[in-house]
Amino acid sequence: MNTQQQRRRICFASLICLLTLIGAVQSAKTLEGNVVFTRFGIAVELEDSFSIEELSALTVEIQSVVERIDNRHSLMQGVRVIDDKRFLIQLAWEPHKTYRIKSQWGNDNRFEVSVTAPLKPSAYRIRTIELDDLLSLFQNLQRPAKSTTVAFSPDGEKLAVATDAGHLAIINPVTGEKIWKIRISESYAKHATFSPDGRQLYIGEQSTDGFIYGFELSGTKPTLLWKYRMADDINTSTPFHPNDVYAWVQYPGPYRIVVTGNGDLLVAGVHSWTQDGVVLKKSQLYRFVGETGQLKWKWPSDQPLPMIIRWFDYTRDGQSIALVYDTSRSSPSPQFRPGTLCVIDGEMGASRWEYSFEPFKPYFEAVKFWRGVGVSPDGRFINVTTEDGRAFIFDAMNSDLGKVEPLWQAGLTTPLEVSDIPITATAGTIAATNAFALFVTGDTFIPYHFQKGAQQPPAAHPNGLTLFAYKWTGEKAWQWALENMPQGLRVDARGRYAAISISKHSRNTKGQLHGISVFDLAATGGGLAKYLYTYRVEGQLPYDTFDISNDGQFIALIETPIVMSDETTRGKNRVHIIQ
Amino acid sequence: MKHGNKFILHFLALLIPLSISFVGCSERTEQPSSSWRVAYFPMGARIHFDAAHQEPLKHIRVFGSGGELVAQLDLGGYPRNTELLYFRWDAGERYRIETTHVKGESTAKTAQAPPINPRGSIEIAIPYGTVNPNPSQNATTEAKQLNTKSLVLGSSEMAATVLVRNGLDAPVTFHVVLYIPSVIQVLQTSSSWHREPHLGIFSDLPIHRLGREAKMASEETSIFVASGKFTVEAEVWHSQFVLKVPNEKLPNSAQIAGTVFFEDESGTQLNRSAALPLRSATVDEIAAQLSIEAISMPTDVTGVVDSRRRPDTIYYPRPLLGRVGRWLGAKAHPVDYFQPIAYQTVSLHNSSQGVIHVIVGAMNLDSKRGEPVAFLAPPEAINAGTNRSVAFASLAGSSTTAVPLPIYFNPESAQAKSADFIGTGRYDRVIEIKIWGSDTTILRASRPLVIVTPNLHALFVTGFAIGATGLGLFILLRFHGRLFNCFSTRQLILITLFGTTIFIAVSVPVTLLSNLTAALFGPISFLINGLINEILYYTLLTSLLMLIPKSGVITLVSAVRLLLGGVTLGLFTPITLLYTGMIVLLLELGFLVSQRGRNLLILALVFGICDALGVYTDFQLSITLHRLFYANWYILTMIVVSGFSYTFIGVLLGRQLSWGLQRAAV
Repeated sequence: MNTQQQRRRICFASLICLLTLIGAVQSAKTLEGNVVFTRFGIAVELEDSFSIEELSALTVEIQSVVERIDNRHSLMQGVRVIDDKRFLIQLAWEPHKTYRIKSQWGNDNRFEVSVTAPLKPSAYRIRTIELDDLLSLFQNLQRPAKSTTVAFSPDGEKLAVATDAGHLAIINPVTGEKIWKIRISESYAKHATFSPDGRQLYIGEQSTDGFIYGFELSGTKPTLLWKYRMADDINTSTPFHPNDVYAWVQYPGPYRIVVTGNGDLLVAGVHSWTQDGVVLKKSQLYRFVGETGQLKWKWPSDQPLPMIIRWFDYTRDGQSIALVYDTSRSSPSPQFRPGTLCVIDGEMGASRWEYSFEPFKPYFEAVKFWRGVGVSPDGRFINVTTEDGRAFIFDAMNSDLGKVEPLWQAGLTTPLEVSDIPITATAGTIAATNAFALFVTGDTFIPYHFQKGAQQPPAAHPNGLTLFAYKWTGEKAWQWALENMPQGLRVDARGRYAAISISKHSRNTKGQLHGISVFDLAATGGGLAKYLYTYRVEGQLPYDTFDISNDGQFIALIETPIVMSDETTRGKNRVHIIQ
Repeated sequence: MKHGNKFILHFLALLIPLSISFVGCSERTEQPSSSWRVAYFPMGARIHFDAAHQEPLKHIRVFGSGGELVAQLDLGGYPRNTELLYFRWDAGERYRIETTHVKGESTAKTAQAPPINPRGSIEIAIPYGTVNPNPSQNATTEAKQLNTKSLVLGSSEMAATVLVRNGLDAPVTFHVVLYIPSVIQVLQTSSSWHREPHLGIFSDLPIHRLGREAKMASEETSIFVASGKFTVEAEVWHSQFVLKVPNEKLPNSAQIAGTVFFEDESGTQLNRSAALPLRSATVDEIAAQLSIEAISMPTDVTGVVDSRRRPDTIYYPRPLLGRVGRWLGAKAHPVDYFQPIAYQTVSLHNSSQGVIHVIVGAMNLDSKRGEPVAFLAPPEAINAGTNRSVAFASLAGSSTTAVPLPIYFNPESAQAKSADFIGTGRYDRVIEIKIWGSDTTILRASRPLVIVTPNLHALFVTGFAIGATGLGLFILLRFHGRLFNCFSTRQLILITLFGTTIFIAVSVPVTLLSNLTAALFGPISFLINGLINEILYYTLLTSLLMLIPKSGVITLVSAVRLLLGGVTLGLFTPITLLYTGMIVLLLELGFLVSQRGRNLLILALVFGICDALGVYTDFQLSITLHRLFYANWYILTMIVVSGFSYTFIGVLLGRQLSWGLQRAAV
């Protein structure tokens, strides 16, 4: 062996050593996982997957370094596996504390990390589920279907998603697994909700018949328990262009479907249509026994309301229901006055008391509502907003005793007149918890109609695009400025978390934000303390197509693609499940 | 040794890049170029991205001086021009802001928070909400100066708005002091304001805390004071002033200034100030700088004129024949009165150097009574009681801005009591231009608005033509044997010969030349076409009738012409068939009435009237079946000249031709 060969061998060996060293150092540097602090604990994301067989042995030890408190979790105690790389650990962590997380599964698999908790939780995406195939959105290529409603089961284990072509799917929100899928009809599935035990699913369609369906879910396949045809009460109609994309608007359908604590179903059936050039409206509020579909009562009992029930809210025990109704024409019935809040006895279906709002003249000749009524879950208070920007609070109890008057009222977004032009903002999205009356104001609402730059209004209403929280005494508790047009408001059953969908149809991606803003209503402090995060999506969020699970842990939101000016698309037809 | 050195060199050459790549992989020091900047606001920090920034970001994070994470914004996509991170920053603290690309690269900046805690702000605007744009780099010095000042109209009333925003502390009391030049008269304020002859309640404050605006508080300045309390963070208080601007020009230094004094429960005080420089101009001066270049209707939502539609007109396809039509099953076309039926676009030219904020309003009025037309007003839900369509426009200097305005149509409004209401008629579109913030109209223009519906008259004529043609065809097919028996073979050959001659001499040239003559002569091309189509045609037809003076000749010769035209030139259209049916019927009747042409003048007169009626029928068929619109003068001229006069001349010439042919035959 000559010297040259020796040198070559030494160099080759050195090279091998170096490469080994590089690999060793790199593997030592490689993170084995990542930790995200969420609203309900910690999400662990591992770089390597673990096998399903090893899951039973998964244990997690969390040690607060500062306080030296150990918590041990097993699979059955606060640890939830999302997939083969991620799991969630329930933990009431505290900001800026350091936690040492040790997890072990199988024989030798370990993950150990020390992390300092942030000030606030981050939005954590459990998963996104593509809807194109799941809901057969492109079955009709000429008119692709759209997702119209999404609802969690009370335990958060199931998620129902339906479309305007009548397809309905139930999926597991954590694993993304499709449980089953059916097509209930060819019509617009408007609202869906589960029974309190999650064994039944109720869904209503806006169609010529306006059916409400009750499905049993406990078997391997869903079975139809009952159905009710609302068109028998509020009539049916044939739109002038039945194949038009918006023809469904003229059919009877449910504006809201909810379930009371004892499993009864409350439905607001509404029908607005044109017949012989005359606009007609009929509405009816129903209470069904959820399991059988038996009608307990309907309001009004003798005839349909010749107006639109815009929205209703209820106490969770179903004892009290508040609804608002209006019409664009003068009252067609002396019995009912447009622009009225009506409180109904939930057991009997009879009106307890009413309050008719006076028009806000000279700007508005009539009182109208959007989703402008909320009832505190304990039934003590009612909050109302009118389209003219006024907000009201009523004491539901005292109003039983004598003359009804608002406990408090304010002009949240009432017109601000400049150059003879009233500037106002929408104020039709509200909710109620036992602690707060929540009012969400929207986009500036003046007679402007264009998206073109020069025609944008110079400024928004000072109180537009804001979430206001008032105590029931009328004292303002906190407020928060939203970053885009609100598309709906949800509060979990405990009144802890509020979620607002914000989005606006626009091709200006540089200026628009689409996402869900989440607030912790129990956090101490003002709006900045209560605001947690905004979960962003690329596409658009259609109106009212998101839901929050009863315990507030999961939020499901539906995204739809936006076609850009260069004909490319941003976003997809999918549902995001976040914590 | 040489070989050994060479190998070591090769080894090192391999080793160095590997080492570099190792270092690169492990440290990730690669950083994209920074294209964003940080600005603090009371609720956190704003990240402004350059317009050219097109990189998707994973997240933006803010770390405190101790490295703790204080705010995080998960993006997972393209950021907006300005992204907001919400956190409570401490005065003077240095925060590290880190943007992370979706691929993992990060860019970090350290930005120091303002030296004083966030405690709200004050904004003054005339008019409400206007923010004068930053002048472009190409703008002239004059334009830059103009655009930093708010425009007020001399001798007019303007609305000024004061907005006070709270910071993060609550509860907080605040006092707003507003300094308005005395030459500007304050006409109206809310009850929360009161006038102070001097600094009054603030006299115990050190003057330096009032800022330089306090020094203005002299006899030349009116002082207004308002107080309030913020109970929650980020609360907004706003109030409006109605100001009367003097006719005289304001001095260059004229400005409205304001200071807000915040005081929290611990007694800590803080003030914020704002000033609004003013420039004044008279209504005439502004009106001289603004002009309406055009008012186009109908246009699309972006202001592009639809030249295919009749100007200033709305077409409403109501159910034909009203109740009768509905009884027959016709349905009214549904009208979504929340969607504009049409748009009009006002082109405004601003010849000045500065930006002018305007409101463009349009109202549709009844021409006779001058009152707003309810069924042409925007829907009540988006009308807000104004009966107007309104658009806001910021007119850049030395440019023309197109401002589209919607026109709504609601046949079901209260005014339209009858189910057959269609609103047909002529109305006025009144367009008014106001300076935003002022009630004074500086420009006004009016244009007609015509609502048209399907032409019932044309429909009746078309129906009659269809009936007559159908009946004629039926009779012709049913009794064609009898018709041919009326003629000898020689006569039939002659009729066919004349039919072919008419096709060759009249139909072919007119078909080939009509487009050319239309291009050259426009609406008067019928004068040229008529020479062939009318005079030559009736010359040949009359000469044939002189040779064979029998009923049915016109029918047969027209049939030959129609069939040849249909087969060779593709002229077999519904309108051609209906027109031929009608003109044959009219001419056959006319030939009988004129006693088969015994008196040439009577024949010319009768054929002239028949052809005039034929021309009229042709127009009505086009109006109904092609939805064409014609000016009345055009229809009348065609009837008189082409229909009657040319026919009259053609008949007279036909007699001459027939004599010539008879002489030749002899």
